[in-house]
Amino acid sequence: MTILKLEKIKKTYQKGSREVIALKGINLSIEKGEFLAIVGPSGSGKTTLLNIIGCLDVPTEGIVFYDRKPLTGLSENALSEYRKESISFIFQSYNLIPVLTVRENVELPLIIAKQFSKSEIKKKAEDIIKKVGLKDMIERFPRELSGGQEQRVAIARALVKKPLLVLADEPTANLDSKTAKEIIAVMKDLNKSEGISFLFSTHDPLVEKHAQRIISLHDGLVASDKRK
Amino acid sequence: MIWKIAFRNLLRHKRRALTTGIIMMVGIAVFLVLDSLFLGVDKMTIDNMTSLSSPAVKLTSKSYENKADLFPLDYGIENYEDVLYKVKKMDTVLAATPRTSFRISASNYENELPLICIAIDPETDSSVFDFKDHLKGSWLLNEGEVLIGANLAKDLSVSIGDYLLVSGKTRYDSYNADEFLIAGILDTTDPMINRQSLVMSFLDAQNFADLDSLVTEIAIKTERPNALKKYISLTEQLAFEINETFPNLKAKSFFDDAKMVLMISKQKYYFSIFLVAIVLLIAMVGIVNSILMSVYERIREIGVLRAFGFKDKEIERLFIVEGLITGLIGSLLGIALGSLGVYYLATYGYPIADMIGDIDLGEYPVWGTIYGTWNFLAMTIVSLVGILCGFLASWIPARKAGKLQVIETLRFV
Repeated sequence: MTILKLEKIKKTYQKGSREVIALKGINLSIEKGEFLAIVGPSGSGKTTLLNIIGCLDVPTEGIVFYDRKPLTGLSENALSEYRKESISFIFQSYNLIPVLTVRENVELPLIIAKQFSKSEIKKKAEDIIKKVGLKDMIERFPRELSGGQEQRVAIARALVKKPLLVLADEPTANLDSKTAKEIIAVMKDLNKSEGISFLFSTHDPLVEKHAQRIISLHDGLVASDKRK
Repeated sequence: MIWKIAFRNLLRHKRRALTTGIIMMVGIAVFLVLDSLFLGVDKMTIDNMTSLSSPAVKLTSKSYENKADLFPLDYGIENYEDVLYKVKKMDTVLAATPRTSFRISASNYENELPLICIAIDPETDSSVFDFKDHLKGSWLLNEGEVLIGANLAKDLSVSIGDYLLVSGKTRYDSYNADEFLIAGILDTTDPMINRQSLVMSFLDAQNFADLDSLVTEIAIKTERPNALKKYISLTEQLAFEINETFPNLKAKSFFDDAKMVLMISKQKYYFSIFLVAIVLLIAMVGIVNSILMSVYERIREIGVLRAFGFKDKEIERLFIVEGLITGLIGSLLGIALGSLGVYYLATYGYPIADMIGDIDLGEYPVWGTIYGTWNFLAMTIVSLVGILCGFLASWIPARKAGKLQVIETLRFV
């Protein structure tokens, strides 16, 4: 089942007086449960593409379909409504809310969604924290965790609402290779058991090794799209 | 969750939040103490005036009214006994007593001082004025006795039992002098009475200044409700009625005498509001600054919250709540500190006489110890204003945070 389809996506920026063309017409579709990586040199348009897929930005031209519904002409708040339901993010520097505990950080997306009761929120958060292996750290604050543990919390936070798609921007860039391996294993497990699609932008060969599909971008266009 | 995040962020930057809160605390506390003190001064002023010098209504002849400052003996109230009788019959009048004031000099046989002589009816004067409450020695019981102000006694180095030589013009412009025994000393809270007044009975005054049955003033007392406004309107109403009943006379209400004092009191009030406004403004700049810092420090956090579906308004609320809490803490601390100050003032008072010593406050009728007054309305209002300041001050940086584009904030990731 196709969960996301991009049609002729173009994006231009105004950088001072210069116009920068970041994406020159991308066509792409993502299936449910895929574990795919977007690779490419800096300036190839990875981040722009990720922003558009993540509904953080809108394309200059072209249409984004989520679940076969086009997402054109939506306001900033309507986009955030969509993000709230369907998309989650994992960042390179984890970005946990420092004043909230592990449990509260993971509960946050459910509280923002305003669809669940307190007991449901508690149970869902505890379940996913257990799955990423941080059951004993549940009441700790981010500053009391290691980088790998923080990223596990970030993964739990991204998955707790069971989104259609998780976007991960260089999720292993700040981790040592051993921890990076563990983190990838955790994500792959959850990808299999929960059926949630993952999309990475990465330079890390380790991530590329585990990805089922690798899209390489070059100069704002898809240069190759390989499935393993 | 918004409250939790805001509260914990404040706790995380305790020092920053506390500094801002303390500025607000000081402002609010100073205002409350000043307000209490000023209210105390006002209460004392008004009480002193009503009990010692300014009755609810003062009735004089029309010609006397214009020259009252000169204390002339030419314009008495005609048939004053008749007038007094009718006035006492009026509904809202509790009591009335005649008085006549004129200029004299008093000497201890070495030094001579110009004074005002107040001739009173020893029988009825206490029904309107409270001289007896401030009296040392005895009341005017016999002929040839006078009461003098405490400062005057000091200035002339005389005390109870001594004699004073009193001299002055009679009603017919001839000079007269006589010896009087000091029966009592008036140590009041009105500097004018303490410094320059000599009180004698009508009987003595009639002999001394050929007054016959001349009375220049009838002092009238009415009910004294606690609320000043009510009292003033009561006295105004009564003055109006008396003017209607006696078209040849002039009745002046308490308000005429108190105008100046009330105006000064208003100025004091504006001054304290001005003071608190400046301090709150400084506190607001502090809040704007610390929330702005907070916004920039937490720009990634804003990005994450936006990415997970927080709307711009929700981001705004996050920071406004921080400002509100800062305002609330500042207000509560201010009320706590201010209450301590007010409690001290209300219990122990501010001994103005000891503090200023012998400096002349002019005609401003305040003396002795000023006691602070609790003003719970001011406390409520000022704390609401403090919270409002927190809200307004955080609104500006909060709007800024809300308007940040998601991609911009995530660029810091």
